[in-house]
Amino acid sequence: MPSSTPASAMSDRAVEIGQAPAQEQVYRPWRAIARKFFSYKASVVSLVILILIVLFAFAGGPLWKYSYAVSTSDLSAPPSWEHPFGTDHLGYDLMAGVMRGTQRSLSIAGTVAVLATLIGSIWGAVAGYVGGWADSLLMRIVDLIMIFPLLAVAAFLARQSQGGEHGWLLVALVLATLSWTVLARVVRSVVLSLRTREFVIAAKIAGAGPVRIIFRHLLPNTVGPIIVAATVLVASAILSETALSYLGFGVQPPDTSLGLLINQAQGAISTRPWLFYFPGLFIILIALCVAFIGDGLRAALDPKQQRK
Amino acid sequence: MLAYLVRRLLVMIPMMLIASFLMFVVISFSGDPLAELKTMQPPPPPEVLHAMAVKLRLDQPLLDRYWMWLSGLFVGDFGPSIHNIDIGAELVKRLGVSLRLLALGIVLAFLMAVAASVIGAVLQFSWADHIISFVAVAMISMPVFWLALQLKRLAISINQELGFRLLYTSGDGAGMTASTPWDRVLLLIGVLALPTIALSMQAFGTWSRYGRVALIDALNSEYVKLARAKGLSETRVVLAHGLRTSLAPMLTVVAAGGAGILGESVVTETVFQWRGMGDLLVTGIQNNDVYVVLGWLLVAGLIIMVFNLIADILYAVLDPRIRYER
Repeated sequence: MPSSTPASAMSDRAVEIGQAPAQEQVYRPWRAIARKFFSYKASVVSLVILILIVLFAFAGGPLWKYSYAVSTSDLSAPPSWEHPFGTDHLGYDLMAGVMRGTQRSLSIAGTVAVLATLIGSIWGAVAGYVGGWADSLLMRIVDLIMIFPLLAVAAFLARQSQGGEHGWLLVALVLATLSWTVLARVVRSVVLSLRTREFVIAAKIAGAGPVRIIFRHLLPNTVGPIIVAATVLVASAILSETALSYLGFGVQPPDTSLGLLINQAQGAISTRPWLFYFPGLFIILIALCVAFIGDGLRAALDPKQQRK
Repeated sequence: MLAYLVRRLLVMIPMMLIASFLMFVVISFSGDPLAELKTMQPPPPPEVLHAMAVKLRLDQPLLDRYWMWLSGLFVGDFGPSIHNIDIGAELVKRLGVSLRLLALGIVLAFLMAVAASVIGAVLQFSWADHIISFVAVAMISMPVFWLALQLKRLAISINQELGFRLLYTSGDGAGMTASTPWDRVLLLIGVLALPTIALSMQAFGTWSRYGRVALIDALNSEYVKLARAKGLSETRVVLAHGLRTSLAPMLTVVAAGGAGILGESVVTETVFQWRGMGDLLVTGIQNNDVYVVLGWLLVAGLIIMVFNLIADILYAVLDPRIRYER
């Protein structure tokens, strides 16, 4: 590249005489996708709310004057300036609890999404590209896992390994090992449509091995569907984790999660309703935001879909 | 069609065998059923532990244990239970309770989803469409136990307003008797209403979103244009030509959601304290009663397979373009 001064002078002149600057002609798919995503109001608002929730959960805990694990002398206090979300019958500040619980629920959902996406996309890509009996075998395994209700199997497995400081990680691992199957199906179907395309054949003729073709040529081209499926995974992981913790098989006390908070509050359904309004609100908000972000991504990544 | 049905049923047998083996291995390796007994204070005498291990067949090799379990299933023996539960009899009893909830919940969710997708597709981008879409997304994002608890709260105030107990917030109706037929109907509604609504909402949300897109696609297709050009009434076009074919892709989503709904029914039954399949599973897991969990998963797997089969059959009935014969 020559020094920047003459180039920018050139492009300035180009603009003056009514031609598009040269760099505008470079096709940048990610920039176009980002622009399209940011034109969806609901998705952008959801993204902002989700970022605020993440900040609230991870930065709020250390800053807030109460701890989720230390009780105060205010028993069963309704929401007030002192305790914005109120307290429970033992005097635990609910806002501290919700911060910690959101932190745990988000960590679990994030871990599940990353792990399940990795396993599922590699599994699906191998099945789709290799084909034949390997494809049948791999996809029958997926079918077998999908026969059983995730919640039931996860509850049993999580029960076997519960407790401890890293209990949440075990819950995440259990959920991840059971929920990657959706990703495998999505990626396989995309890879099936890509494997006979020219660029894959060209790579094969150039001498690329199957591993290189899968990781360098096929998986990068399935990023769109993978991202969309991964957002669905985040939302469903939040709901599975909270349900698991609600049943008592997920995150264990003294640690807490949004589902566990609701479990502990359900005896106070009519006397201290705030105890389950706030954790529930956070679960719904997170799941809603993730769903709307996923919608925006789906629309932005789909070249067929044009904004009306 | 019949040949297809037989073929599908025959495929189910090896699938179920492999699935049951996989399940057995995973559950056997995931933990020691006697772990809690061993850490009890004071520790139980070794003879008791040994007797328990023999009872649970832990002294046998894994493959033998699987074979004993599998061959027992054919004579109705679901294996030993830590708490001496007759697992087979219990499963049958609990299944009767839970199937009512499951069937009603699925039917309600499906009917609501169809109604919502018709409104959403015919009045696309109207305020009604926007409201329905938002409600659907909100229902997908709402944890079933939270919704159930809210419904319970609502029911308590409704009962107070009415002055008598119309809606039951706990129990599956077992042991409750009603003298007149009218009271019996009222009792049935009171017991089933809240759990059914709670269970159906998440499925309604998911299904209505797919249904709306499928119906919009169908209404834009050539055969619907032809139906309109023939001069058929709009109602007939939408219901007989558009909806019928759009139900087929919707059914795939419904079938795929079978396992999810079964999991949610466990949560719903727990909230409403039903003594159904959900309670059997939860207490089974709490007590580490492995054969109860195995039996439960076996029944659940069978239900989901049958569910998928019914969906596939309906698929062919609804969409005349689909043929299963070769």
